[in-house]
Amino acid sequence: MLLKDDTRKIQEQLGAACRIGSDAQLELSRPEALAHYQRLIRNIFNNTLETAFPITKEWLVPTDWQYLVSEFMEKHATQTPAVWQMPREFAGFVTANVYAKTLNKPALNDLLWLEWYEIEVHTMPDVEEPASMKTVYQLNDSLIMNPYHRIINLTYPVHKMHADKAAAKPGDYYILIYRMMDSGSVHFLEISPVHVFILQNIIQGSQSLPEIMPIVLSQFNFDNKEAIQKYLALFCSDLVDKKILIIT
Amino acid sequence: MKHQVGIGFRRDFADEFIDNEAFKPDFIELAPENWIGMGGYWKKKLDAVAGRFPVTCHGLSLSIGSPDDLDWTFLKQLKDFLKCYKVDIYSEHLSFAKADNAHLYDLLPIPFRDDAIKHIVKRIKMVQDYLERPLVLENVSYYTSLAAQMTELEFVNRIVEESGCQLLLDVNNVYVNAFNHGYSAEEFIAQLPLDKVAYMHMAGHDKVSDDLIIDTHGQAIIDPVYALFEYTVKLLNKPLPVLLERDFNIPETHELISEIERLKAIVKKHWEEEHVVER
Ligand SMILES: [Fe+2]
Repeated sequence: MLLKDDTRKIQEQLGAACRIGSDAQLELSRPEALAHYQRLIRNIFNNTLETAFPITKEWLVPTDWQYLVSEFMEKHATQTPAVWQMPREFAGFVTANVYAKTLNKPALNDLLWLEWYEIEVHTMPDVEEPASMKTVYQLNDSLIMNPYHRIINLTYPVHKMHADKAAAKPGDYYILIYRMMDSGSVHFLEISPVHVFILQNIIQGSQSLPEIMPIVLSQFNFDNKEAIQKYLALFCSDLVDKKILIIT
Repeated sequence: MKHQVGIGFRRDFADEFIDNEAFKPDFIELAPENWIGMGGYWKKKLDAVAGRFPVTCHGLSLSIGSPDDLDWTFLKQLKDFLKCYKVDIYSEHLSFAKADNAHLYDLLPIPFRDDAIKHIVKRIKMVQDYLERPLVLENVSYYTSLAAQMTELEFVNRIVEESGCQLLLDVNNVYVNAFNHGYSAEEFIAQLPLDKVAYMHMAGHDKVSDDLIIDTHGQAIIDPVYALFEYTVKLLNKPLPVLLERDFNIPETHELISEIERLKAIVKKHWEEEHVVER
């Protein structure tokens, strides 16, 4: 090791002092400058997290928000070299350390992840995009999924109401977050467990609705095949119109 | 890309690069970390802009001065990115941004010490070997030295000499450091290995107190920094790409255009007249 232990330690102490905001016993030519480094780094974390989580930031009282940022800076070693991806680590940190309980904000995790996944879908790396000649859905069409999407499961309906109100309505909410292939804009769609099942089957391999129907019927114990198929065909048709599903 | 003046590409004014016909920097500079792994709307914008202007890259997270190991996953992504956008110049900071396994996303001062030099020289060589290109390292602004055992000048000069890297000379940073640490900016520049300078930065800063300037890139360049730039250009006596950095408090585009014009006038005056046969 070319770097001596004491030099390494000095660098780590400066890093720690910047993260924790503490005074360190460091040999500085201008000791007052430490506060500037602390402020500059705090600003970077604040700005990045506020930009990623504007709704969460607005919802929490400022002291709670600042508490979370401080905890994150002190206790989490940020791994990504890309600062714009650091908010994902923040959502993971807050979830893993049950701050929702500490702050008595049950919907906190759901709101953070909803905000993060919107960014994630918006910035998902480009892949070769499937093209379709056909835009009007017919029952036997084979379908594939728009590659830019996420299906998430929320306990609280933070996608449609204020997070405090959502806390009173725990349940099983499925949200499809998808990006339009042409404009790049991101949209949300609340879907049911049967819809999720259909989409998961389509994601696994291009299929038509009638091909998926037997497992849908057995999985969900439906008796009226025709009514269910009609209902699901409407769903598929709607998703084709929205360019979430693509006819192959 | 010699003797040309470019500007940092930022999302905040991305459309100006595409729509504003009057806004014609010779090249753009971007931070690869802000774009690696990004698709969708912003990737389309980036590709549109990269289709119009040559690209240089100025990294943020390599952390060449870090006690932590180099991040080879990141370096692989970086190498792919530089290739994809046909990037000639990849520069980074002579500082550290990661310690104790945590990224800080800012530029911290490396202890000006002999062991740090040896450590960094080895890392520069590893990065250069892997990227198959010289690393261009920037003299950073710093607000305090950290457990220093030599001067900044000796530290920078030895790094350049022993590693074979090139230098990104940020004239505003020299101005800021000279002010904050009480030395002569002109003398500092004159004693740098000027033959190793491959790229230059110019920027504005904020004076936060009577005795402290912070390098914010949030203001227009001030006259004394233009003067120091002209002094440097004369000393360099060879055409190099020059980059205007503006990261915050983005003004109307015509103000950026006039800053670029002013920089261009200076380099033209000293470099074109003396290098008419260059090319
Ligand atoms: Fe710079």
